Amino acid sequence: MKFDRWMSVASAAVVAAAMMPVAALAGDVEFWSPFTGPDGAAIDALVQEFNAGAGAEAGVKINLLIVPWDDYYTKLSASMASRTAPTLAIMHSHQIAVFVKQGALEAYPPEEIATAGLVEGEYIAPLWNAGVVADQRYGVPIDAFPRHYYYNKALFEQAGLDAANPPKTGAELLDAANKIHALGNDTWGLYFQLTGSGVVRNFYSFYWQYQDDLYNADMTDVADGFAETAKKAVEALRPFLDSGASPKDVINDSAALFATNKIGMSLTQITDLPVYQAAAANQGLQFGVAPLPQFGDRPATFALGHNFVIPRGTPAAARADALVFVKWIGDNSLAWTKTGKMPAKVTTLESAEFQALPEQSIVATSLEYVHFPPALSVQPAVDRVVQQTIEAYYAGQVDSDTAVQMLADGIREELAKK
Amino acid sequence: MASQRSSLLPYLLAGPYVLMFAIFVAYPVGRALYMSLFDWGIFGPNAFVGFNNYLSLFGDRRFWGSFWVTSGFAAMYVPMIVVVSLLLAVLLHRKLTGIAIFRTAFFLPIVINVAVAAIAFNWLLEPNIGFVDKMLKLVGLPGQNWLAQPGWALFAISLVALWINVGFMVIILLAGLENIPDELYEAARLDGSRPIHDLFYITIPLLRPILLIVIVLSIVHAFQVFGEVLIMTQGGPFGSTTVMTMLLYEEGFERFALGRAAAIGVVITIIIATLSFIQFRFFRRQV
Repeated sequence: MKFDRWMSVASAAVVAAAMMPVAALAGDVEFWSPFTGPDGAAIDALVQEFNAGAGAEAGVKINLLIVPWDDYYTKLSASMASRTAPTLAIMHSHQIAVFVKQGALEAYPPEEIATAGLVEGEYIAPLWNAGVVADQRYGVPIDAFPRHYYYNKALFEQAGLDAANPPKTGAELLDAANKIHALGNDTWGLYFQLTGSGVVRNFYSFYWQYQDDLYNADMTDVADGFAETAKKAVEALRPFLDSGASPKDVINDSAALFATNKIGMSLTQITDLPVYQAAAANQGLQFGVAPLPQFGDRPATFALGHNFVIPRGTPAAARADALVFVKWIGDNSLAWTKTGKMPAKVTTLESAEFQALPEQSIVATSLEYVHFPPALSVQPAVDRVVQQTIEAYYAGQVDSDTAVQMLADGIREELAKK
Repeated sequence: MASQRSSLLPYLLAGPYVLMFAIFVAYPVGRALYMSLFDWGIFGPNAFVGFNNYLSLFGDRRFWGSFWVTSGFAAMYVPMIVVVSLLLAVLLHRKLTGIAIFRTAFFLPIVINVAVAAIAFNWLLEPNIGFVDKMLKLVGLPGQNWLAQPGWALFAISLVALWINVGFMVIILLAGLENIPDELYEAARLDGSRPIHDLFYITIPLLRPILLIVIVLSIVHAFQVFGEVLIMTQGGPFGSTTVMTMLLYEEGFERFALGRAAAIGVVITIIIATLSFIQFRFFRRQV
């Protein structure tokens, strides 16, 4: 009986101990990353390298937890609500304002940035600026991924196109797409997404090639001239569908079709690079990359980036430890760019090693004119309006005039909620 | 003493259920009602807003859009599941050797996780390599991009919900069929009745109370459908499958407007309760 009682007490103590929050050791930084696949392997290798070298010297240890993208933000917000958030987390640039509105992120004060050795001038300006919401810094960039296109060199050759000089304008792109489509044998000239986030990113890219602002100055309405510009952006890819050079139906395996020489050009983003590189290694695919062609009167392309953010309530000492890692990653991000990303730092961009990366260095030329979405808490909701409207347009449910009206009305409604 | 114990017994027996009900139903419902009156974010209530969350919902096109999508889904799903489950129940009611195997087979989907079922159907309905389109093409019918077209996407989701839930409805109807005396069918046979007449003049009239339950449960399912939508279409294409629960998810877990999300949950509860009340109130006499 006595033994039983002792066992009960011991069991209760074990359960209670298991439920107690585990205090992090000094220098330990809990780091949540959503990257999987090649990205996950790369970030894991970087963390291990840091822990074994610079981290050990500085007394900082990064404990990496990979939480896949699918429910990353749901789990991150749940961890914040239950006061069990990590010290450091990765966040898309356009999500930062959403979390800032909730008071869920710590701002990086200028002195903290300076103490950590992070220097604004060392970062590529649009990427650095994407971490700012309402004049306060909440994110430090690790990378960016602009829109551009991949092209199939074998199909270029068959169609009599110069693979060393891929299309640079909308007209050239259409001409090339038609020539590739004319090869027959179910070959598509240009693939672009008719559904999903790709339609949003293409729309913004083309919009910004005609006009810089989506919204008016106080972010309460669409910008002057929105209707005219949005119509051009909505209709930018219409000729490709009308000529039959692009598939009118949704294609789910575009990378596989590209790898088997059934797609001549694919309008997407640099993060897809590992897929094309794998096809080149395994299937002999010959491909090149080129910046997004210019349809409007100025070059522009949409980009998002990943940022380091610090959840609310992280103590100053832990923040300082986290920033040691953030600084180190910025200085050692070449390996990260090899997974199909643009570097955040000018030094990496200008390094001989990066310039020797054939695809990344070409896409990097568009960093001069990349546009990030406005830092607004309702931006993801606006993106949804754009996505649903453009999807409806491509599906033939609405014409371009109606689509533009739907865009303006939907964006206004979302801006009113900010 | 003994009578005191016996008077306590009912409460003791009901206790576990009452406790579970309080924790998993009453508290969440009360909490949702409370949250719906606040501007509620990740870290809790920011400000008391009264009924503003409800008022803003009623002025929101997306809310009304999701209401009509959900209603459309219910209009497809409820008749379909009632008819299919009734037909299956009548077939499975026959006293044949090995019929229990078929009954088990039809019940099995209910124990399969919604996520698993939705992913499996995503593959089955895939336009290029999916089984459904391949079969259609084999018999000369055109394949469809099921989940990328507005009407078909909602219909495909209703088929998945049907596949998951039909077994449960069949079991309920089978229980009802067991209570219909065989003598009625035998008497009808002597009067020259055919099986189709049995169905319409004996089975359905005597199953009305059970059918009412099946209809009410199906409406509840229809207004609660979520997992299938989240996994198969995420509310697309262009919002055509954004049911009310999907809108609730977007408001709560993408925008973190948890007060608004709670208000949507309360509205869904009120709609389901009202529809159920109307059916029980007005059709009870007929059944």
